[in-house]
Amino acid sequence: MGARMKRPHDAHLTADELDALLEGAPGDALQAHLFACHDCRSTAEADRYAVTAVRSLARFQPSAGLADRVMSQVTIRPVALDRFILRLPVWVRRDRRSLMRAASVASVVFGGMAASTVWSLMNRDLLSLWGSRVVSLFEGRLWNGTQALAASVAAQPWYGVIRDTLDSPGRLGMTATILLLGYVSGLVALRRLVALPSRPVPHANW
Amino acid sequence: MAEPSPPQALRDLTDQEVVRHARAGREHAYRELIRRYERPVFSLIYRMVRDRELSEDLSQETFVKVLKSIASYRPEFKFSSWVFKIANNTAIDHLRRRELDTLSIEGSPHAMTPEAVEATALQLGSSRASPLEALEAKELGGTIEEAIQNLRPEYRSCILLRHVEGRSYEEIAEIMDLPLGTVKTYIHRARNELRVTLGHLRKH
Repeated sequence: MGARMKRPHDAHLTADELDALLEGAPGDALQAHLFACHDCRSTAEADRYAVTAVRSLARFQPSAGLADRVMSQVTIRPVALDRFILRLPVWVRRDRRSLMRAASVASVVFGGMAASTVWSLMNRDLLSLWGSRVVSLFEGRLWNGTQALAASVAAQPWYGVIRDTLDSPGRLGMTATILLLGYVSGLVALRRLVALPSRPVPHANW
Repeated sequence: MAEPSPPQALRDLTDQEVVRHARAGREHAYRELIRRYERPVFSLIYRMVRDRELSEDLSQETFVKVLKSIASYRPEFKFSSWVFKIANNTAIDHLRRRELDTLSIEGSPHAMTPEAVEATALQLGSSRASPLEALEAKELGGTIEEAIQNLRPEYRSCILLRHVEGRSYEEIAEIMDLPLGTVKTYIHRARNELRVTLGHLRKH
């Protein structure tokens, strides 16, 4: 600040020095000059007087109902919706062909869905009959399939080895621990692989 | 009709938090922003244009602009600076329009008859002297207000923002879209003029 800098002894007050005086932070040199220079002392006093007078001005109150008058001219909507509405015409102008394609796809999809809903409502009995046939067919097939899968697994040569390994609680616990450790180390390794470098890599912007 | 006041909880929030609520579409937040700034904005505009009714209209215009463009407000700036910027621009735009209407002390260049010339010349001449405006000056608080009214509009904005609203030089530069050096110059010139104008009061 100008007031704190070394000032020529006989120079009159600068604007920055007047500010420093207002803020109550004059340097020693400035105070010495004020003591010696009647003109500057008078200017500083007049400046303080003028600023104090301006600072003493009260704020005015507008008439009651300003908020109501303002609110009657403002439509309240969330900004996200506002932005969407504002940008919609821009998107339409910018990418008319893509928009037409999207509209065609949307009309086919939604039209199909609407037709399907109407048809379903008109043919409820038929749908219910088809449903019960499908359920009974799959119930039988699902049970037979599960049994066949279990028999096939039990017939495999490695099945006996695994069953013997997990036979006692100690071995089961040890195997679980090894698997868990393997899983955790895998996670840690993956995390280090995908972490972003904390410092910029030199020449990374080739 | 009683004006619905914003809930007490909003009054404790910072400007930025209230703005967030307003951006989410809450009417109470809009009203809270008006409540916080109606007096500073109205006072600034009133001291700029010297007409209560007009100041009401311009304040209303300011808040409508603020609230309609709240989506474009960037939270990294002080909300109060943004509001004052809109208020100041609204007042200055009005003064410029008015100045265009009363361009010449000899009368408007568009005036076709001697009566019209006289009428437009009187508009400018009366800006400090008509009984109505003298009454307004009295309402505005006498000599100090008059001294401020006699400053150039740019000086007036700067001095009011600095010493009535307590804004920093940097904020004023942002509000008025001026370089920092220009703001400092305007404020010091304005204070020079005020020192001279108010000098006689100090001697009494």
